[in-house]
Amino acid sequence: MKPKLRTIVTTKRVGSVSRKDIRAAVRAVAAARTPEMERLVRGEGNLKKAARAIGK
Amino acid sequence: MPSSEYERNVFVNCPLDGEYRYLLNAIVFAIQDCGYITRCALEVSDGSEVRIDKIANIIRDCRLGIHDISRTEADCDTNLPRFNMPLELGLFLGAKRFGRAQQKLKSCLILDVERYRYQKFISDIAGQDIAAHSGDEVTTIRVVRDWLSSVTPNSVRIPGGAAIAKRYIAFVMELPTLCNNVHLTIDELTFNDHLNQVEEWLKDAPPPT
Repeated sequence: MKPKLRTIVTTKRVGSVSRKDIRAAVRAVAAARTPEMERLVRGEGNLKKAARAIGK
Repeated sequence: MPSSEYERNVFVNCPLDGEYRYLLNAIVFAIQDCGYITRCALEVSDGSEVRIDKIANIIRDCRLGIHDISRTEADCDTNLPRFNMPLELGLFLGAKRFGRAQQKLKSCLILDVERYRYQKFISDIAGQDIAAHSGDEVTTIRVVRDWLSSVTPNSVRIPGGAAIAKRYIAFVMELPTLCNNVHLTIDELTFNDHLNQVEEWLKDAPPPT
């Protein structure tokens, strides 16, 4: 049997920003992604080049 | 009673100051992207609860633990080292050794800057597997992912270390805009805010290939 990809868990915890606002912020950021960023989000692309982009 | 999420909870025992935050953020991201749940002393802000009780409760709730014992330098104000991380590692190992059946299932990853340096300051843990993170986020993510992979059932697939590292970099690049969208600066994020953002970002992100 082929293993199934892990699931991301959501846990209730008290923060200073509501989940609803965070979800809206995440969706807005995702909508503005360039194809290169989209590849990075999928875990593709060049790791060294990506690391340089954040100064690592 | 331990939490119902006992199997998936990962206790993170590491320095909690700003200097270490970049590695803590990398550890948190790797844990969450592997489908586990990060638990840390920073999650509770109840001033009425005694700190060691708070930590003991979290340890009780977690099957897994990541202990970074790399902070051995003397505090610049007191000129003394801080012993909180080794103490909490001891509590975790004690729970595993002397606890009930469920506690005996505990498993942990011990991190240091270099693999064998611990022998000079905490030699009693010789025989445990110690991994080196070299103070680097990508290495830390790989080490955490590989360890979590070893404690994950074969029926579940978790992303590879390189894929998680790339996703982490994408998250870090998008974090300023994410914060801006919720009218906060990165410095104003509480630990819980950060963790909630990681969770929502990962849930929205396409699955790693």
